[in-house]
Amino acid sequence: MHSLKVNLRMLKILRSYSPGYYLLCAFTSLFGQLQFYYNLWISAEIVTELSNSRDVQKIWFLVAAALCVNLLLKLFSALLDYLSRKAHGLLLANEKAAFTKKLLSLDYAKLEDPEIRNLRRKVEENSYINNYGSNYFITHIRALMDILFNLAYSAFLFAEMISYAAKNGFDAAALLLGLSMCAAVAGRIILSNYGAKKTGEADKRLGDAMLEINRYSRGFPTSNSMGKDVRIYRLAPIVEELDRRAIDMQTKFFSEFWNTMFKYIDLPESGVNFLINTLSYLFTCYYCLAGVFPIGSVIKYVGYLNRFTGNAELLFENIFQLKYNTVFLEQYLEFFDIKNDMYQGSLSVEKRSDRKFDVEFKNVSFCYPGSDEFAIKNINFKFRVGEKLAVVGMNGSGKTTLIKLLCRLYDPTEGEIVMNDFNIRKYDYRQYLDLYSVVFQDYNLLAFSLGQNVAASPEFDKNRVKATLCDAGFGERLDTLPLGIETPLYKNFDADGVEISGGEAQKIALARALYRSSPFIILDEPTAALDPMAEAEIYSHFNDIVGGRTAIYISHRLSSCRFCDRILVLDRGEIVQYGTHEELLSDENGKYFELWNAQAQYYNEKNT
Amino acid sequence: MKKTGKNKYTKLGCLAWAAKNLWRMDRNFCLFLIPTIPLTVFYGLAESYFPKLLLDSLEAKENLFRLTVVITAYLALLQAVKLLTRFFDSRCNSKKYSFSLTYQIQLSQKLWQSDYQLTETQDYQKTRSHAFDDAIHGNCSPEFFWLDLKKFLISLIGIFTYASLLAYLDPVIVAVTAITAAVHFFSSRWEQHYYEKHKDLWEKEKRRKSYLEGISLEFSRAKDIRLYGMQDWIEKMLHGYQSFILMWENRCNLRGTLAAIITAFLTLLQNCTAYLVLIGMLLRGALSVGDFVFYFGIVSTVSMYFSGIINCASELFKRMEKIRYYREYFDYPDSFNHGGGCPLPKGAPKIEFRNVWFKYEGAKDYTLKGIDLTISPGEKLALVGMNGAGKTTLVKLLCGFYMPTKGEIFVGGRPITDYNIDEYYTLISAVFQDVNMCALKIGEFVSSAAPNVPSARTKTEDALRMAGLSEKLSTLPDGIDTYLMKGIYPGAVDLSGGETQKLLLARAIYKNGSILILDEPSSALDPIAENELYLKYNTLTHGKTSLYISHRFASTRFCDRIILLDGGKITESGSHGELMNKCGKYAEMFAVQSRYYREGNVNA
Repeated sequence: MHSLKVNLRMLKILRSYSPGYYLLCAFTSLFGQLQFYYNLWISAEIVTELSNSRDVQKIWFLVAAALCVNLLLKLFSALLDYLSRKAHGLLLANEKAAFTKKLLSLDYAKLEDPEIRNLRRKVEENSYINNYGSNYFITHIRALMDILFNLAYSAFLFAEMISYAAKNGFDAAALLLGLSMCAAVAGRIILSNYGAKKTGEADKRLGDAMLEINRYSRGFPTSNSMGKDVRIYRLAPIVEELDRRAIDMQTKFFSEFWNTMFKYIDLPESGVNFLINTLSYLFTCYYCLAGVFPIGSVIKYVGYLNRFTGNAELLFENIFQLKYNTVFLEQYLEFFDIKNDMYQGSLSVEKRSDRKFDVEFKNVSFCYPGSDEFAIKNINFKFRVGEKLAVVGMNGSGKTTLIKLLCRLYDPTEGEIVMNDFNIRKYDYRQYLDLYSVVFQDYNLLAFSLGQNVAASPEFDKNRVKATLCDAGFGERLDTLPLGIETPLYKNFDADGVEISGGEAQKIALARALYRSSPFIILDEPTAALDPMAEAEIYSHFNDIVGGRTAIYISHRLSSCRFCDRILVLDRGEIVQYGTHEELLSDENGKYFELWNAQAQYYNEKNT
Repeated sequence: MKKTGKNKYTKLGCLAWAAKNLWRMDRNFCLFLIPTIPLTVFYGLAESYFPKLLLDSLEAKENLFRLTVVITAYLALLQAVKLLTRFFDSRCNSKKYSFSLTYQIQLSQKLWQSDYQLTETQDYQKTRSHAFDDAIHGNCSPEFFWLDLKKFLISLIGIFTYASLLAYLDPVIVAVTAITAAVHFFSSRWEQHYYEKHKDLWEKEKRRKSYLEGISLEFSRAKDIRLYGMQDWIEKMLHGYQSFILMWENRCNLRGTLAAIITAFLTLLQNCTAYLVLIGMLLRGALSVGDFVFYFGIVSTVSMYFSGIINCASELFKRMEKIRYYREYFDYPDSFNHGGGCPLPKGAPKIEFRNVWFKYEGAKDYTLKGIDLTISPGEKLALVGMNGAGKTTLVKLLCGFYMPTKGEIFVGGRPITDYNIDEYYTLISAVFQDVNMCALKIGEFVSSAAPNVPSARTKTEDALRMAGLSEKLSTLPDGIDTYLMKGIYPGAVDLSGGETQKLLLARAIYKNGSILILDEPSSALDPIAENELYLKYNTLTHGKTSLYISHRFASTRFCDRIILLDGGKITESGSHGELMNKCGKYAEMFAVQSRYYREGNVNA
């Protein structure tokens, strides 16, 4: 009952992706399967006519009918096939698009949640690599239609056969044959169900093995840049070893699968089929010799009985498989059912030309989902509008977490963040995000044009893109690009694309942040890949670049603290110091003093 | 389709090559494959013959007992043949995918064994992607040539048996079936041709689409996408690609439908002929009803065989074309010495660049212009310079990745090319600037050991401690058995930038090669960790010739000598003090960087 509900829900969802798909499938089955039964029937008629009266006119009439109807059915099927393929393409496309859309719209916090990540991995692996779940459902529903129409058509022929046989009455021999046939059919169904269970299990094991193999190949990119590491660190043997294991595993599970297939499907099936075929031939021949069935019916009824029993078996198998697939469908639906529980406020963010947005952390603590350690603890802090703040601390001291909370990628576990007297959760999420321009350490650019990357949108203001690129120090390189800001980044799709160095990428990412002209600008290690001259250029123009915005600057190069107004020192998730460079440096027991000297000692002329 | 000058690999030669490989990879497979060919043809024939047998017996009013015996025996035979074929098929099916994996292994191993420099050239990449692209596409890949070969042979034998049966009866039917098969072939080729001709159009869009879909999957992209509100953009692009792909799919489908319509008419023509001829003969008394059913069945089978033979032949040709790509790739020649070479130098080697020039493929200018540099055994050299000065290129030359365009590099008194390059790599421990992670366990990554080799555990842990990662490791429940790269194995972790650098350093420490190269190893480290690295540098480099590249000038203090690279040339060389006194570019760069660290004035 439960699995029926799940499957029906899936049916409904898929219907919305491609309206009319199921109807088209039904028609395709209707005409596609009709051909077979029609041909059985008409050829039986022809054979009967040929063997009996040989009425020439009737023979040619039957032949003409056979040819014409076949042609019509074929044309019809071709047309329906075209339409249903079209609908099928749309169905698959929209299904995939829905998955991507879901991924893109999930809250960041959800995305990082280990449980959800696990669910997502399962859905990806089962539904998109192993093709269970939605794809499996689609193919099986399609097959189910064929089966149902087959059974419907056979019902007609069955009625015809019984009515013929009834004329003669059923004697003991006929009854015996009939009953043994029923028994054989029942046997076939039972056996095939058992076989389907066995092969289903083997198929699952094979699927799991294939996932493992897929992990090997996903986990070891066969790319050029990997080549350096492979050669120096002799990784090729490891890869080979992994690949060999993959082959062994694949061969093992494929063998197991096909052995199971042979043992539990082919072998019993051929026994039972032999029985059913023999019985049905004997049955029809018996009636034929008795003069009840016309001679052509030998072809007709045997073919039909074969088809009927086959489809009866398939029906059970199909239902079994749909049931088996339910668990994957549940995973799939569960993923789509994940609700974004980040509060999407409704308060609209004022557009203030004075950029006066007072943001304050009040007793903020946070631990990452799935972890019980606080990444930051009890933070109380007020950002000063228009000031440049440096955030320093060791790796893992919570600097980036602080930023993620500020930008509402996460909501605090405890405490609240307040902007202009309201909790930031109350503001409209999109509008709130628009207040921040962030360059994260692990920023990413896309293989689109330079301009689109800077504007983070397909359309852009050319002059502003150019201006921000110049501000970010990319101007010189821009002049060397023949296509200018239309130049595609990377060579993924365009021979005209340019490969950019780490330093250049950083400058483009910086330009992207500047292009947004939002009141806050946050830079996380923006100069790590730059040479001293380029770095100094950014430093010295920092005030011009940032203008009147509130800036937060995170860097391991403490020299950057010198042009920031104030410095916030984090240690193990807590604020340990806050003040100007001079103030903090005067505390010789402070963390800042330690950090500063670790670096500055080498630049101090006295030590040289 | 024909390419001149590529006659080295003929189609038949490729077929022989592939068959030989198949035989070598799995003899049993071949032995299981071969009998299915005659069995399939035999089964088809026997199955068509059965109704004839039955109808003839019924017409003759045979007695029921005899009929029962005949039916049972005949069906038993049919079933047995079918079962045997199934058995052979299931054996073959168990193995068929391992061939594609085997080829994939060979392909990727070839990539790792080719000269690195070669792998960056366009020609190599073209050859490689030709070979790779086909290997990945499952059933279309060339290693499945035997499927076509099997079908081809079945059709061939089938045609001989069936057509001779029919031709004996009436050659007209054979002629008509052959003609319809030919027309059918051309109509499907027309469809195929249309597909092939336009394939690149949407293949490109498909690649873009999967690129964007991949991006939506990546954790590391999620922050940027959300903060810059790129969701709509991505979805819009995806939708655009999708519509384009669907449009072309429909166009191709339409051609397919037209081809199916043509086939419907062809079948009409063929069946019409068959009916006319066979019923005519039957009415004349030349055939029994059983014969009629038998021959009518044969007509449709033979037309299937006719199309089969034409289609398989053309498919086979196509596959051979692709096999050629494999062979071209496998035979791609190297220029470094990969065979036996001179014995490697023991201990820290002396390194000499003698007037080394280097130019990238397709570049106008030389990246390195006449480098003359001697690094004495055990010397600690620092390499500084602006972005794009050629530092990384110099490292790649020293690693043996590139061959100098002009000049020579001597290591341990011999040119690098004298050594077996694969052995030469064992001398080098390097941390490169670009990070390439793979989903191994942390311990495996560091020790580069094939998974689960226990011997190296302690050494691995030492290296990790030395690199400053032990604290992080203690927070991981599985320690050095934790998998890297989130999203692939359950429980895997992604390391932060700083941790990744430490991991790469640990790997270099573990390897303990006599040449140590560190290219920006501390850019993501915090000041304390950075300082620790400097203080450890002496220990790390003990007994090694080392090269340290960094934008952070503090590092140069721990080196014996500093080289400044500017515009591909060595412009300054000496100790920190010497270079400072010189008041050149080095002093300028140092001043720029140290300005903010010095006490007092900050005003830029």
